[in-house]
Amino acid sequence: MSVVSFSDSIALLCYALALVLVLAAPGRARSMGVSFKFSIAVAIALLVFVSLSNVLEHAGITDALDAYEDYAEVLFVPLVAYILFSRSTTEQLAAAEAAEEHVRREHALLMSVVDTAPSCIMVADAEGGVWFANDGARRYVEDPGDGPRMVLQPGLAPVIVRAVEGAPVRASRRWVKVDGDERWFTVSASPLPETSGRAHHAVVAFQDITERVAAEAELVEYRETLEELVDRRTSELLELNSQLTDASETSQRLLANVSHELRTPLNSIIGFTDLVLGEKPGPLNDEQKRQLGFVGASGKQLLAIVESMLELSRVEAGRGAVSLSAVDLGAEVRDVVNPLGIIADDRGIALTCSCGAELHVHADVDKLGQIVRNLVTNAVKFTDPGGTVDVRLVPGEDEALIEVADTGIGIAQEDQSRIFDAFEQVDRTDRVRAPGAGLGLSICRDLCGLLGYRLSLVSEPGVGSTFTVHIPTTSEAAAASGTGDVE
Amino acid sequence: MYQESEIVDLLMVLFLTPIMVATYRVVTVRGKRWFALSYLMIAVGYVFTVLEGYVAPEALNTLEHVTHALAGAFCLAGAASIFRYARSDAGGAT
Repeated sequence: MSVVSFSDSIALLCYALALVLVLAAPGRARSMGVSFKFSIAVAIALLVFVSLSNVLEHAGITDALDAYEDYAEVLFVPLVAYILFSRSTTEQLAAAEAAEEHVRREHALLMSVVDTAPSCIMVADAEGGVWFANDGARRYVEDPGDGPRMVLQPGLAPVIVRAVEGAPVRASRRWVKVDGDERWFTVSASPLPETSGRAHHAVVAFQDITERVAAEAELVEYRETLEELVDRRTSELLELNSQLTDASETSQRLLANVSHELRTPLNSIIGFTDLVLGEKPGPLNDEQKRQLGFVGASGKQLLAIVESMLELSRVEAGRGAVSLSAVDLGAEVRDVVNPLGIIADDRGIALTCSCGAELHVHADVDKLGQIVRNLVTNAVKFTDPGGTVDVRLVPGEDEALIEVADTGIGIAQEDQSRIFDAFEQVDRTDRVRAPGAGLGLSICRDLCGLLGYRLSLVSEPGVGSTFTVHIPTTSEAAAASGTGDVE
Repeated sequence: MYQESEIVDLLMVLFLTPIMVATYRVVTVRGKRWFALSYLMIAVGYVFTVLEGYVAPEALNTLEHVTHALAGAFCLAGAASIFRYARSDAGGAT
């Protein structure tokens, strides 16, 4: 077999197979299409015919087809060109349809957005002719017969004219008449460029803000009224505060004077009672001694109350000047507690002092002593015979603690906040057990505040109470404790 | 000597091919490169057909038929590509 015959056979075989494959391909496929499929099949069929003609001719079978081969070859190139152009046209049409659908969807989306916008949106010309209006803007459009026009034209005209001339306007406030009503509008406008490049229309967005403007005006008026009211109230409060300060100072002066004036006759009563009890003027019988004993005891009790009131008055008036010195805290506490043992013994209470540790701090000895004395006296007063009062000194890293713990009646949680107030006692009905004016804890609180100490209380009714004085031992702790507090 | 139909074939190839090349770039037909090669082989075969009337008739005739065989092979490759893609595109077996 010659090369020519072999080549023709190969060509025939390949074209025939190609024709079968093209005809077998699904015409419903999007990438194919029936007309495209059959156009290609016809082109390949022409080549099959040419190849078959060549094979038959060179095999010496027949050359009858040779006369038609030229027609087939002449047809082939235009047919290929037709297939290519029609395919290209089909694809361009499909792309155009897809683009049109896309534009239609985008337009629908844009219209939905524009129609649901809270602002009124229009496209208008400088003369007020309306080209487009969204849902909100349509109520401001009227049609007198020569096309739709804006009813807001006289008020918004300057803005639209500026925008058409190429100067965008942003959030301009305009006073416009609508159906006889005068209303405020906020207006923004931008030129709408056309194909010529020159704008004849403007996109105008506006909103009726009459209610908002009215609310703003009302707010301004309200604010001014409020400021005036606050100024007036502040003046009244300052005046009242001044009056209260004066009244408080007068009250403290009165308290100090009365206490001072009471002390002198009281000392005389106590002194002369002791003198009579000592039988210097003459002998007394037992009944006289018993009754004079009541006088002396009541006089001393009254003197103690007066002394407490004077001390409270001094502390509250800020006259208790602090005098700091280096002291051994344990020794100072022992010196205060030991003499009080006599009072505790009289009441059948065991008073102990666990203050053996040596701890040096800077403190006001007199005021610290008074705090401890008041706390211990208070504990003894409210503890039943047979109970204990324990005074402990607990050294710490930043602060030292002086704890006064008793097994007394205790204080309910709801009463713990008020027992530090002046003239307050938990059970005021039990005056026999706890004689006094209820000033001891108040003085302790004020003195702790003055010295920068903290006073805390843990108590349970029927079990006992523990008062703790927190004394800062470092300058940092002292600064942190500030002016002192009660917990 | 040449035949008139061969000259017509060659002229059509020369005039239409540049236009077809521009269109070829934008269409999306699976295996279009194979079909383009097949068309190119056929066009070269037309050239050999015309030239064999003037020089080396036997050699150019042989080359003409060889280009036809190559065109057939490329056309088969293109048809196979179309067949595979059309079946997968239509949801059939790949």
